[in-house]
Amino acid sequence: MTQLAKLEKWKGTLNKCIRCGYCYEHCQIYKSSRWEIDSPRGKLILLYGLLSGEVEPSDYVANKLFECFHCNRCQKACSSGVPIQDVYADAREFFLESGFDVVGTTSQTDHDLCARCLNCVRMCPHEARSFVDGKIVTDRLKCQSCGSCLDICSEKAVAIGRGFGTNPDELQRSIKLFFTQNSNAKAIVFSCSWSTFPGFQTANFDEQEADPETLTLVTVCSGRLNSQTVLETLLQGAWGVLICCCPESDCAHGGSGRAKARMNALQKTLEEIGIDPRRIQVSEVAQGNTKLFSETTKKFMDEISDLGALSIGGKQ
Amino acid sequence: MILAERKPIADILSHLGDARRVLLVGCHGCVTVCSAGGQKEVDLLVDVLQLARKAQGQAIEIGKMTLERQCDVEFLSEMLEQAKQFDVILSLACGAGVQLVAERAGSLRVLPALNTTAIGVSEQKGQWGERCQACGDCKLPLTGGICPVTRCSKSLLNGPCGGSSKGLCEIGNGTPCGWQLIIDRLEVTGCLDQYETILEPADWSSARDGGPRKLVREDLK
Repeated sequence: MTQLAKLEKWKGTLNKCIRCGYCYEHCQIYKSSRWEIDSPRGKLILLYGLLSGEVEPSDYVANKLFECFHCNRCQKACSSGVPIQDVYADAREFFLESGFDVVGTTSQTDHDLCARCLNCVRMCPHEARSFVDGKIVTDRLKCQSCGSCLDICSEKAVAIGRGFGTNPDELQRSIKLFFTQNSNAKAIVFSCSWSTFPGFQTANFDEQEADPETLTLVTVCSGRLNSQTVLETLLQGAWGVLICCCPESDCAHGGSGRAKARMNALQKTLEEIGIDPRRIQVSEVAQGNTKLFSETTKKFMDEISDLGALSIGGKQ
Repeated sequence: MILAERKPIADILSHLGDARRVLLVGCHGCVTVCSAGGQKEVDLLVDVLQLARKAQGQAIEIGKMTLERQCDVEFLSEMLEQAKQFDVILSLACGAGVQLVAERAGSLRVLPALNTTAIGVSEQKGQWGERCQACGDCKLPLTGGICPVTRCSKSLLNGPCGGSSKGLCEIGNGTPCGWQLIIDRLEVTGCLDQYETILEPADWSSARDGGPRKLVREDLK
């Protein structure tokens, strides 16, 4: 297969992967599915198999390579220094050139619903969306699955097919379950997988020690968190919602600024309806700053504990 | 497109009063394109109203739907049937849509959730600007494609006035001087000689001053 030449150059690099699995705990895709094949290591093994002839190119394999939130944590954690994202990029190009029509976690538009407002095209920080032949199309090599385009769509026509726990409906299911199963449940912390994710992994050791009052949910980029999810969290019974995002200068998707602007608008709305705006807070936590993440969460919990439950009957 | 923005929630709540069953109706037309009254905005307003009533300790039953357009009666019928189960219709359409719904809603109250602000364009992400005041007598052929009625704060037909400075209008907020825009555009298109033509006082009877306007096309009847 001549098109494989693009990947041949990575053969030696793929041999460098010592299968240590350090990439596992940094990958939201793997942490959501818990399948080896969804981990960066699993995907590298698939590519190795492709080059050795043991794995046939298929829609299944192609789709795996397009399922990635481009956070680059795997590459930073790799003990062998494999440039995983560069390998993926060439693999994706190979699959598209070979005619595999897969979308993975790239954002796609439902053309029947789309109003052609073009807001998603203007919003995309990676110039991955454009208007071609009357339709919004996504450049699957440029799209970084950050989800900036999701909440901007007034028709809810933009979606990421498999969210691996980060899509609005998946978040809402987790939130509902948390408040149904925990009588002490008080708050949801939405965390950006770029900055806060590695931090909170080390902040909470295992599920047994998990705080019964707060649930931390990964949203990929904080800019992807939609306002409706936040309001519905309050409607589920949360005393408050904390959003931890990257410092604005660190966010490659402009998501931190957008999250702040959206939550600022929601805080004003809360104030208008007589609810204390401190129930929604946004805090910047730089990547790997476990201590700041814990402190920020504790400070937030102290504040909303003072405010009390958002109960029926007029009390804020 | 017609531009609109959501009314302050406090106003919406005050207009709703103690209505217990509210039907929220969005519009897939202009207000979707300017992110004010589409499906997403309907869903968001549902949550806001539920939270508001929760905080007040009052119950509310909310229905929702988004219509193709609220300015065409054919798209209203199914919604109006469902609306019989509600106390009030809260429309997220422009002022035209809200009024057509009100005309057809019989004894049911119809309230606007939006303020209709202008006829305009998308200037950049998250920003829209006014371009037309629907005066009914388009001056654009004489003014380089830039409307003096809309873009000049005083709607001067022969400008600029003394309030124009360095290309900006004296009203501030970085508003460009409409007549500076016109002159620049006439120059770029090689039509600066048109600037010498004095525009006669306009007949504003084709605009709002002549009362509510009606458009009749016999060929389409």
